[in-house]
Amino acid sequence: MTTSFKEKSLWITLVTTAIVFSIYFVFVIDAFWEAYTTTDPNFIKLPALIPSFIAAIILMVVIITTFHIALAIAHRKEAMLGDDERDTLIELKSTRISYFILAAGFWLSGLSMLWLPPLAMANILAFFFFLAEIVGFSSQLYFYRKGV
Amino acid sequence: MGKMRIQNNIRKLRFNKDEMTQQALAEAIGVTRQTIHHIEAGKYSPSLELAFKIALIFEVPLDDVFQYVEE
Repeated sequence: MTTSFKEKSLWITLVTTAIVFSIYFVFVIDAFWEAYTTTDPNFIKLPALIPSFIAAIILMVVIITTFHIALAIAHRKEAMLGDDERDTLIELKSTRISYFILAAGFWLSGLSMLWLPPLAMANILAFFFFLAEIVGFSSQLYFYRKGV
Repeated sequence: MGKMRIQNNIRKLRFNKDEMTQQALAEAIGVTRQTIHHIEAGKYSPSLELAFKIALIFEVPLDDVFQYVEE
């Protein structure tokens, strides 16, 4: 079976999200690690996390949009077709899976407030948000292949 | 009653209707070709509305298209 427009679109979003946020979270871990070990008074990695997060979001939007424009040009007919009932069902099932991860992350980040600074809490929440997104896209791809 | 599953004759009905393609059937009922492929393969059970649309295209009763059978 050939890969459909929907699947290609999901692959673009999944790979872009995974790459951009893996890089971002490596930077986050490195920044927090250094923050706890450095004695440098000019250490600026932690304040740089917020602009880095915004830059990651912008980069992700630009990459996804560019690839989707190219994909829509290559598959003009399929791109014009909206979601059918199978697409909707797959999306609903995947959203249900993502929700549990996001909910777990929400409570975990709330609990982390007891012993971690707010910036760490925000990053834990962001991590679970993107983990939920990645699991959601992956499960959609699974349902498209294996059936729903 | 044992475990039941939905089987269909869409492939045969397409063949009998001037070898209609999956794409042509998909366009006629407003779904993607992949959805038709999954229905034919028994990987997706369509809604009642979609099942009636398929039966209408082939001009046959619904149970000529889909059957609920024991595995």
